[in-house]
Amino acid sequence: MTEPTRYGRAQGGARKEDERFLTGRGRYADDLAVPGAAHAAIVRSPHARARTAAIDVAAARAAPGVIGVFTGADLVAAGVKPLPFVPGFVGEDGRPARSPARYPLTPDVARFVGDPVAVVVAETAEAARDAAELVAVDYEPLDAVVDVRRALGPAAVLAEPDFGTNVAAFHAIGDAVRVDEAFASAAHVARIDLVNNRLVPNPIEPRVCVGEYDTASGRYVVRLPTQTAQSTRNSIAASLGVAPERVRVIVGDIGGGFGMKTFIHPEDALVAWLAKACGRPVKWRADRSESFLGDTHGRDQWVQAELALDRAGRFLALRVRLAANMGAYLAFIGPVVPLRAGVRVSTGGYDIPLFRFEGRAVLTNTAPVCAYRGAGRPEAIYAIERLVDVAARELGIDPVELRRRNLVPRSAMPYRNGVGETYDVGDFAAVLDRALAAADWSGFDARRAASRATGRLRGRGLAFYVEWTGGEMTERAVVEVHGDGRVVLLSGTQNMGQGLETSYAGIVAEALGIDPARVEVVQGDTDRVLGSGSVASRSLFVGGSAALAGGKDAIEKGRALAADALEAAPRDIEYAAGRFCIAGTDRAIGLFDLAARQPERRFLGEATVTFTMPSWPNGCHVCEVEIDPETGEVRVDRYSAVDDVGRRLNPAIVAGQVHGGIAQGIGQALLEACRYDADSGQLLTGTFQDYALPRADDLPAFALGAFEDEPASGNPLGTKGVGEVGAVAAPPAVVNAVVDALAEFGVKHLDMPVRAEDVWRIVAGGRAPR
Amino acid sequence: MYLRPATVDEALAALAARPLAVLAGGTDFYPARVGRPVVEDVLDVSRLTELRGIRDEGSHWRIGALTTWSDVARADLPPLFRGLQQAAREVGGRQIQNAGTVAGNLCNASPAADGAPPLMALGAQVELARFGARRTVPLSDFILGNRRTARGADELATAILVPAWARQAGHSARSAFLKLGARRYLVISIAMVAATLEVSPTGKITRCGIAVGACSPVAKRLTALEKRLLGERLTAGIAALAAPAHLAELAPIDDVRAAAQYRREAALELVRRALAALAAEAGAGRDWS
Repeated sequence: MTEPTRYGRAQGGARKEDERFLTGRGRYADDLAVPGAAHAAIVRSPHARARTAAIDVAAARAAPGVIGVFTGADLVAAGVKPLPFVPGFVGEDGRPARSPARYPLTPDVARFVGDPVAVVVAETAEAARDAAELVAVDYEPLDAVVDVRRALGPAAVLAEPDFGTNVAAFHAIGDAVRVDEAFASAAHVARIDLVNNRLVPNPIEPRVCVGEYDTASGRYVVRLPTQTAQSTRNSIAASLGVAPERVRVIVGDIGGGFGMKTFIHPEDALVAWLAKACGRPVKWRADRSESFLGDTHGRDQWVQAELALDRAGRFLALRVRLAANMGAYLAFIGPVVPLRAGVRVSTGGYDIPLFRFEGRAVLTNTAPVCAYRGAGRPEAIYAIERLVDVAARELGIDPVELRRRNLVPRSAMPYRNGVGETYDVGDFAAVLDRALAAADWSGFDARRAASRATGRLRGRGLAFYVEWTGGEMTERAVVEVHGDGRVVLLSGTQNMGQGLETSYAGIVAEALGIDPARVEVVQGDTDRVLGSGSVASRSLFVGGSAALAGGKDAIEKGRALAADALEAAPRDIEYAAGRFCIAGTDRAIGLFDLAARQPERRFLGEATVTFTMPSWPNGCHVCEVEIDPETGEVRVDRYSAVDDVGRRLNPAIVAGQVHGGIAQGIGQALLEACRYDADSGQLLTGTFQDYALPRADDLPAFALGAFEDEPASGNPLGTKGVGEVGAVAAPPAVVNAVVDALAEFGVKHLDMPVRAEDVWRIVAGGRAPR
Repeated sequence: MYLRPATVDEALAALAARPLAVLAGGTDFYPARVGRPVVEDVLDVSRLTELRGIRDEGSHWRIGALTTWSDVARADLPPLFRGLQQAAREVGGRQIQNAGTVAGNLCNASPAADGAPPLMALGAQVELARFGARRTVPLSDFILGNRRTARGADELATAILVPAWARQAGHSARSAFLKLGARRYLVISIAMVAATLEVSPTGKITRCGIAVGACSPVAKRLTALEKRLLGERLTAGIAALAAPAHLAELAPIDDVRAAAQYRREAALELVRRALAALAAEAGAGRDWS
């Protein structure tokens, strides 16, 4: 169903939105001047778990400029309901998955450091913060559990004692008996036990929300940077106990989301409720410390994986047991990340006929964990790609050769993997070969010798990944053709810096044969357009395909109107390059002239597309590291990648997406670690001084290549999701390289982030003391 | 009360009258007060431009108390200051370097202060003024502990004085600075090392200063190592003279950034590298002065 096209390709590197961003004219929620807005400051728990029996707000209420002070009990008394989370999960006992009820402010027990317990609304943000310090909460500290392994151990402290277990949700896939048999008869079994480190998403724009309430209409407006306007609206409405139509969510520009700005956060519902309670618009903006404490975090999985191989090095079966730290409450799609999204690609690019998965979503007294760039797939690919390297080393088989023997061949497509997912297209072996060539894989020995000569250790690692993208597979687009020469596309997906305005404008402009500069893209206003937002790398292939269909529908709608205007039969009307023309004549009317003749000086095209086939981007990333054995410092020296993201509409945007993902992946592999004190549950890495984000000088120049021979079969653009691939592939590529560099010391695995000290311990342990 | 005097005398008079929190670049002042109002009375010294700049005063160099890290990095200084200039380029990020002052870095007295090791290895002194009086204190005696200094409440640090090195004919001096952290900058260091060496025309070490930071509450001079190096020829073999015993006085801590044992070992390695780097430059006949 792929159509040959060049949508947007001709536009080169500059993006439609770049000038606005680069000249400081982005419209972010914090920039909004909302007349009469009051400011909220939130009192957050300093304890990992504590009863909040008595809260004395008298002093805060009496402070200068204070409009109101509210606690969780006030919200509950007013009928506010807990924030929803997706149904459909069950616990180990088979009963529906449970989470402690999460109200916008917790009314009884604070369950993590940073859990909101009270809010002050005041005339200024400063007054609100000053008064928030006067709120006296009588905390009764309770035992807390932080680490997921401890949470599953015997006699573990229970994050929510009423539940009797820390396991909130359990999910199993595959035939355990057949997998056990395969392992029993295997010639070799490789095993790995690893932790996928907890990360703080840290978009440059912190979360902000502004709530308004209109007494006359009884409607709420919440302005905030969210990737999923409709879902966020629905959740706010659910928490307020009103119909979704009584809430309007408006999104401006977003300074990065990375999955963290999806769905519902407590403050989103809180500002709406406060706006009504105070009779004023109410604004809340996180500072960076609050972001560290109160944003949803990412990853944090304990994974045990085993791979059974036959004598020829063929993979027979894979067994994965994982425990995912969900934090103190199930975030909206919290358990989806480890139990449903990631597991789809647990077998990676390999033909592994038998698969068994047991996953547990575990409650602890930490910030809730939810989606972060890749959301489950980075964890799954990290496990399989580390495991394949372990197997290769144990068997003495070259890691490239072992992968080659087991990659799903092109001839097997469409291929149903061991998990039960179907990959439509792909030529994994060709991608692997191209990546090795791009990396100058064969030139490694000379580079290693050169490193040796300067006293450095050099290692190389590769990672082959397959990624699932799509999520919600339906999207709608409305294309408005206006008499003043503009075309407006309304889409329920959401630009958050990934260049969608450029890509969509290119698609619609090409469908209509007009200049892309005429196309405006409108997103993120639930009164104007609904949709599933931008998650799971779905926007271009689902939303972009809808835009294309909407553009085509506009031509059809225009054809009927043009027939009327030109007094001809619709079948005789041809359309090209902005003009409707009676075939074989010179009688024609321009697209915009036609719109100007309509009663509202516009006409609409609209389309809803629904796909059944996710897109399966795949690729191979190759990393070389150089290690200073005396200090243990690891430097990423070379990094190259070949990614099959299907047809690239805009190569510059694709490269930008891959760059960003790799940077975050290298950050996860070498620098970023969110750590809580194991006993007190205090966040130890609450600032950028202790939470090391990668900077430009931590990264080499990336050599990126694209493989476009296997366009996606499931959408007319032939494109596959690209937003997350770098973050999926980079961690195993980097860690495989580090472990390779340290092979002579007999190291099998190092957990991320691989710090200089960890490397140094390996090296220092392997040589005589000085 | 917020005072911003135009002259040092006015500032000293104000300090004599009441306790004041001294504010220069503000890069430590503000982070220490995030989320709460400034309740202290403040003496903003940023108008005291007479305290800004680096001057050769013969027997010593004067680094005025308002000299920023960027000033140091950009200044045309002899190789003696190379280590301090390396430190200046790795303090925080560029904005911090533009605002933060070297003297403020010392007065803030963080165990991980980037300025302490290179200045200690230069044998620097801190000039303290009070109304009508002035004194100088060796840097090793000035920083007393974590966030504690010898500055009296009525005193203002007015300059850092670095003694002249290589005053005898044919002698030359040079310094180096190395830092280890999770990233190269904008993080709190795991360990820092500074070394200053003076050599005679015959290549013998005639004077030296070696200091380690972030491995004890106050950056420390490695006096035993300095003694060991005196009289040695500056060759590639010099690095091997540094031994674990020379770092015995360090008291590194275990924390989320690194374990004590790693800090100690890394510090030794950095000492050796700093010495090796200086030896290599000497061997290469670089410009010593």
